[in-house]
Amino acid sequence: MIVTHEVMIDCTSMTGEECSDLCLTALGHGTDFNLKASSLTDTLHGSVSIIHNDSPLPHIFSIEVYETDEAPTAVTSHGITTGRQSTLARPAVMPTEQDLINKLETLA
Amino acid sequence: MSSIIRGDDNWDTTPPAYGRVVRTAGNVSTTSTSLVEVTGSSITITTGANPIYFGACHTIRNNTVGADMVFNFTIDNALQFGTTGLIQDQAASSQWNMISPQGQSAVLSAGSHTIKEKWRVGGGTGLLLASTAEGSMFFVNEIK
Repeated sequence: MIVTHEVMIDCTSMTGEECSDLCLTALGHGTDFNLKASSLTDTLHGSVSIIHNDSPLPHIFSIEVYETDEAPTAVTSHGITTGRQSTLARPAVMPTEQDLINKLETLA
Repeated sequence: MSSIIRGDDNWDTTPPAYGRVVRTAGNVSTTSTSLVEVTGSSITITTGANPIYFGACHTIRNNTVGADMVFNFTIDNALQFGTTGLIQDQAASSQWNMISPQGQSAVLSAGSHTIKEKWRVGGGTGLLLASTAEGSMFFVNEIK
């Protein structure tokens, strides 16, 4: 499921990564709904991509929540590992599109 | 008696197709570990039976040392740099990296083609600068 939504956020006083983390927290990022890998082999339930537009333009969010499980695609060749090492998994509780939009709106 | 010398009537007078996406309105971030579109980086052009040259110029970083930043392109949904792509490893904390991933296609069929730039991270948050001070560009040119 991919949800695209726009929200007015002023992030001029923080870095893009800090703004992204703020948005992840609002979306309920955690062990049961992991949206950002803290290690290369994490199990993830989705991801968040953001265009951090400057005011007066809104931030544009693209939130992907995985509906099916996908194993890692990493391969090791000549001692070098490439490909995706994370596991993609459907969350135990699948949020609705409106759930995610409501959570993003708390940032406005 | 005057004579008229005619040239070749078959000159291709159509200029090469091109397109570009220049972003200056705000940075772009992702936490995706699978390839997703660099939001908005999609160009559709109509070409002749010619190859295209495509590329991008960005300043990027990942807030996790050792985490990969991977870039790739698709032409009509076909990946151009393998299933992974072009890899930039974040070597030091907060270090900015200038990258210019680029490539050339084989001869395409005449008609409409959509070229997209994609990216992903190995972990952490990937950030791509796209402001009035540090712009970002993605472009496609037909070669003829």
